[in-house]
Amino acid sequence: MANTIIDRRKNGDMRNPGSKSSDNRQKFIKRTKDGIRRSIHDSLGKRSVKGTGDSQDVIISRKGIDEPQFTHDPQTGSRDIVLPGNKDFVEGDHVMKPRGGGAGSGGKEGEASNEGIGEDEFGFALSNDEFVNILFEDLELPHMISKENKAVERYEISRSGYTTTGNPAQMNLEKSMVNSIGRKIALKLPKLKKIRKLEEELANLDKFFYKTTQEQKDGTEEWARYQEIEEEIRKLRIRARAVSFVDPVDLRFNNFTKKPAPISQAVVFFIMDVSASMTQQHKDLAKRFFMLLNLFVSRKYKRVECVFIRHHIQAIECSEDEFFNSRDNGGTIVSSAFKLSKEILADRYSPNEWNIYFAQASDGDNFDHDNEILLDIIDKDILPVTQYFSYIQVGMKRHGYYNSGNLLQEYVRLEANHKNIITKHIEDTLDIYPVFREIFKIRDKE
Amino acid sequence: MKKELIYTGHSWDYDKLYRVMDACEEIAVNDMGLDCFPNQLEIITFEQMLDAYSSVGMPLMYNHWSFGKSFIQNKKNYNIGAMGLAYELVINSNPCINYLMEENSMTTQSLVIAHAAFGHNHFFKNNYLFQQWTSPDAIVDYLLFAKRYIKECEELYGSDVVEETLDACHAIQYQSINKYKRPNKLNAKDEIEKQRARSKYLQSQVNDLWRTVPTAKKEDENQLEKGWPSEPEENLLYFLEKYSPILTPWQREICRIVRRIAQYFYPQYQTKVMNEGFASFTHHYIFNKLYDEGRVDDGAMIEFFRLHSAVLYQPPFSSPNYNGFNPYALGFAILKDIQRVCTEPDEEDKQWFPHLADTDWRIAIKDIAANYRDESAILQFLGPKVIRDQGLFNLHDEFYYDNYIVTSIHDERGYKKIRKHLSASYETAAMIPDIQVTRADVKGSRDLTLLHESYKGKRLDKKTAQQVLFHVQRLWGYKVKLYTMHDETLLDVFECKQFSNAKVGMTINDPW
Repeated sequence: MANTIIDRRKNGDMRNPGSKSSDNRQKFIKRTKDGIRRSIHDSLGKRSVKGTGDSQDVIISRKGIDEPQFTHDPQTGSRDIVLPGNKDFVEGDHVMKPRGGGAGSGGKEGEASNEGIGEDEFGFALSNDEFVNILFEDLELPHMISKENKAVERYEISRSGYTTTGNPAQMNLEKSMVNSIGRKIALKLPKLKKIRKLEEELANLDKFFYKTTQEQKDGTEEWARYQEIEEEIRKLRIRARAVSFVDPVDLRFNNFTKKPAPISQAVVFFIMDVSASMTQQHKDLAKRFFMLLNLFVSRKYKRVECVFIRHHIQAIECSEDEFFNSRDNGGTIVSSAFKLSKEILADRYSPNEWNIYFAQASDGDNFDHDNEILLDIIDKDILPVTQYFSYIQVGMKRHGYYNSGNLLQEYVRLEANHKNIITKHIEDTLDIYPVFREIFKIRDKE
Repeated sequence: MKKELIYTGHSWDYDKLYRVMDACEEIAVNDMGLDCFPNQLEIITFEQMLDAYSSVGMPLMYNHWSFGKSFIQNKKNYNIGAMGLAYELVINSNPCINYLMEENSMTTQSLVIAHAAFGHNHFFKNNYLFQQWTSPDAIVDYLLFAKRYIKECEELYGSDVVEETLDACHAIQYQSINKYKRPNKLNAKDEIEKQRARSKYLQSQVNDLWRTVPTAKKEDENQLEKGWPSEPEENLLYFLEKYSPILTPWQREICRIVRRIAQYFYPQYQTKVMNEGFASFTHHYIFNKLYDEGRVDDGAMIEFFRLHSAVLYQPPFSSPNYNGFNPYALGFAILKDIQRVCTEPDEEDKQWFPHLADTDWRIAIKDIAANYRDESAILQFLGPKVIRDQGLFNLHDEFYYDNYIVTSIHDERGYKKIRKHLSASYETAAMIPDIQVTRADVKGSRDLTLLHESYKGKRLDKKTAQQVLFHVQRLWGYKVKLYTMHDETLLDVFECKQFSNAKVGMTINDPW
């Protein structure tokens, strides 16, 4: 008997490259995407979002992933159950049926659910990539356009037709050979087949003239033909030799040109109010929002820069780390942040070259006299050059009468003149993800 | 005669594996007289094991989210230690494919080789059910065909529709088995060639059946009016594949694939106890023999017994771990008892098994492996000693009783009853509800009627029945009703509450 041992460890199944389970897993995740998203949404409120980490546990409802089969209802019909391990029963004994649970008699009857955890729930771990993909699916930085950036020395090499000169490594064989064939046809290169045929005929004639003398040959029709063929072959040979197989004029080379690459580069301004009026809870909400945004931007876009600005009465540009972790505070002058932004824009991010995005979070409090300055600067200097401006106000909703402390209302006025501003309110950690989706959902291109 | 040790130590290598294979084969073939397919051992990782495990134990299965789900589940259970992984997985194919996990110790590998590569292998090759119902030569190729076909369908028609179709087919796969008629042998090559022709032919048949343009009355028209089909059809997917008014040709092919694979597993769950019992018996015999011949050392033997007793542990009914009979334990106990009856029978055995006492146990055991399934083997060979050893007893239950009644225990009066009841619990109908197509109203409403023949008054679980019915409705395209009948009594009627016109996918080749 021929027994064999095969090592299948390295490549999964030889007949099945690419792991079966990973395909099936993706199908499963696709099917449960809504549930997963809901679970992520629920869990976002409870813990901080980090871009790193091994895996994220999600719990989804079983609805939609059950696989129904016809099964017997264990509480119907009559049955005889044989069981092992009798110690003290004798014939005729009565045994209480187990109560409760309603799920069936005894649970000892090999119930269908051997699936562990909660009845209606299914828990599993998503890899970090899967998690982020689902988290940010269908989201984008809106209105991103390609801007030619002349300042940046970035070129793309692209194919652009063929040239007649070039280095041998770039020779395009197909094109060259097509040219060669064309040229050979044009120059009436005799076909090899034709010569062969003539040679064959010649050989036949040779046989025909086998052991005949020249005198016998002379004057026969065959001899005339023989000479004719010889002459023809000679001419064809000369012609064939004259037409080269590949001529320098046939050669074509792939041509590449360098072009300055248009790139969609963007800069996102993170502006966070850290003034004293921002309570710990407010800051927490704002930071969670920005963390999500930061994760989104860094995961989804390669060429996006972030500028972090904290402000109280004074605005400071800081590092990502400081932005999320520093804890100073003071009064509030929101316009300071935008003045700083304006300077940074002028200094580093020309609107001609950059897509500019703003994301601002605040509790809505501002120094009374600052509102006018603020609106003016946003209206005239910021919004005209910005692709998209999002403002989120954290904390309890405020109503009309509390005008002075309600930036949201001021910003809403801007919406009349500008289409690229969006204002949202976040009261609770649970609002963050829906609001985030709302702000960055993919819009139909106008 | 002392022979050399075939291996020592914990870790395995290829040389050791080949030596173990040869040693096991020598005993299996020359001593026990087993007749096996050639073996192909495949070394895999635990992930691959989980993978195969999650795809109904098949080396290459088509892709479906449910396999992803069970993979996730199994992996989680495995990681938290709630589930020990099966040591072995063996495919009924020729050559017989055995999976060995790389993490296993040398003794575990040896046990698996003895158990699967010779025990299961012999059973697959010789048991009448497997001989009749499966095609070990063709299964791997057929699965490859199925996988490719479904992949192609996904590319052509979109993965969502394919998924829906598969979902619906999976829901009724256990009601899509021919229990009496032997299926055609699988043949992947033919399958691919015929598939084209078949899809056209099938559709033309369906079109004929569902023709709405009046044609001259033929003779079978009368038959149609009397009720069609004239004979009930036990194979739901077969019926839908052939006659559903809405399925497209490729969907019919998917129905066919699902039912053919389900059919392939039919012998497996009818012989679970005897198959595992026989394999355990084989590994037990081979290992003891190896030890007697001095070919494995004491350490290996101790590890073997630890593994053996863990696999064959039968918790008593009162244990929280009790989850039905352990097929390994039950089958092993029965076969071991028969061996004892053959070699050293006492008075009781002579009375119970007069034809077996003092005969060659090898012939008796191989006869059981070849000619019985669980139900019939238990009915014939469950002896009084096993019933006593395991303390078997029978509870009788009627759903309107408050208590169970102990009707039989392990005594003279009880033996035969216990054996009868235990055997009955392995009947197919006790495990899988028997549902048939009885009527399709081809001339009028196009309603489909299914009949559930109740087994001992058992009714269907309402929630799942409703869900499955919804799937059937999707494959049929019109209303589907399901009646549960017990003798002449109507127990339940199921009907999908809201009939959704959402058929499976788009119907490109709609007959109307």
